[in-house]
Amino acid sequence: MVINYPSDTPYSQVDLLGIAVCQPQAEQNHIAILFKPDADEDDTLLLHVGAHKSSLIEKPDDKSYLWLDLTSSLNPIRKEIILASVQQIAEVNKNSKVRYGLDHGVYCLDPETGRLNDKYDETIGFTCATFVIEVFLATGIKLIDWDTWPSGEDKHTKFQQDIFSYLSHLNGKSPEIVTLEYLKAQKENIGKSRFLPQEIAVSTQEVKPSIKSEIDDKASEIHTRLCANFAQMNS
Amino acid sequence: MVQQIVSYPMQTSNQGIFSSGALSQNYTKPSNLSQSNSDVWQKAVVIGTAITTAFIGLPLSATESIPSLNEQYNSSIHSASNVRSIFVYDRVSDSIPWLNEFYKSASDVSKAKQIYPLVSGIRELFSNQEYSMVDAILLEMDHSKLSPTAMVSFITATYPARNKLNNWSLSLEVVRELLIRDGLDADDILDGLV
Repeated sequence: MVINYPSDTPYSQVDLLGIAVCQPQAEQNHIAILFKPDADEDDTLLLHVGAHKSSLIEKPDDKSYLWLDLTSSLNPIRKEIILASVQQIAEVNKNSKVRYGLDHGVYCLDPETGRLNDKYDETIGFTCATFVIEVFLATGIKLIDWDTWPSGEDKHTKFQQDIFSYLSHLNGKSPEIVTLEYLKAQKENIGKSRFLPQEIAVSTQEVKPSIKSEIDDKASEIHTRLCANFAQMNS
Repeated sequence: MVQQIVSYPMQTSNQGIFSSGALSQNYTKPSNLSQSNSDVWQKAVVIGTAITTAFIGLPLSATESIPSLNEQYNSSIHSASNVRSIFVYDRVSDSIPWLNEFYKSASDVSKAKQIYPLVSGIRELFSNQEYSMVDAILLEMDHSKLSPTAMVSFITATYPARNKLNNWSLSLEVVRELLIRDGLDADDILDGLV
């Protein structure tokens, strides 16, 4: 697993597409799909869910993201096709306002069309990590074996409660943006499995669906690197 | 233990840096993705019917040893009827501008930006529930004009709806054989599809 730092290895050196991870605030990790809209150009873009109903496509900033190529085991022909598929998903959903939430494994992106489907109803929302999982699912890649993830531990439940508080706050300010129906559904997710950005980043380094216990060490390494990078950027 | 909290605050600080619409500036979207007129669909129906009642003429496949999907159909009908066929037929690709355009350079397709129009076009057809049309596209695959990447792109783009496409499995087998013929690792390239 090679973790690249943009100061040493610019985003433009990504081999078509990969994963970008950052720590926007202390101990808060984030994951996005990093891809090149045109392999012949240096421009790169992120496809991600960064916040509730925020833009899905953005340019990465100069240095906050560490990044990884996808597994080198992926056949080059298939990788080109996966990039085309991700680009199509980005294009047709670029104006979608994806809800931030705690659902997972709902297959909300229709692999036939690349569009959000009927399973993405008014109660469903995604974290940055589960959105990445869903996008890869729509390209035919199952990153993880969901069943090997445990139910939320205390720290995860605390995180989920923080998210619920965040959504409740948004509901108080703008009930049309976060509905009561959505809040009610998200409350039911508290205590369920949680998928960390660094875990999903590691899962892209394997061809087969990742088993949690097999990727924990590498996920911890990414987290440690992100913490150090955050500390350095803010020193 | 370290507590993980989501990244939603990130947007506040970075929003000024990011520019929306960047993707569209870089994309070359196929100009006819939305095409889905009834004429095209009807041709697909005609093609489907033609398999059992008449004949479909296509250029020869890329190899003598591996007949194209159409030739296989053709051959079986020949043997059953022992009647020489007369080819009067409009190709579906001629009716779909993005597909017609794709075929013009399909022998050189190797990059994502070249694949994109095909993936996008096929998915648009699926969005419009035009499975018969996609099936006809598979039936018409002209392997002699397709690079290995282009062939695999047809297979992968249609894979999610394979159970709704009568021609998908045979198309996969033909592509697999052609990849092997070209000395490529078909099992690796088609991993997860077979």
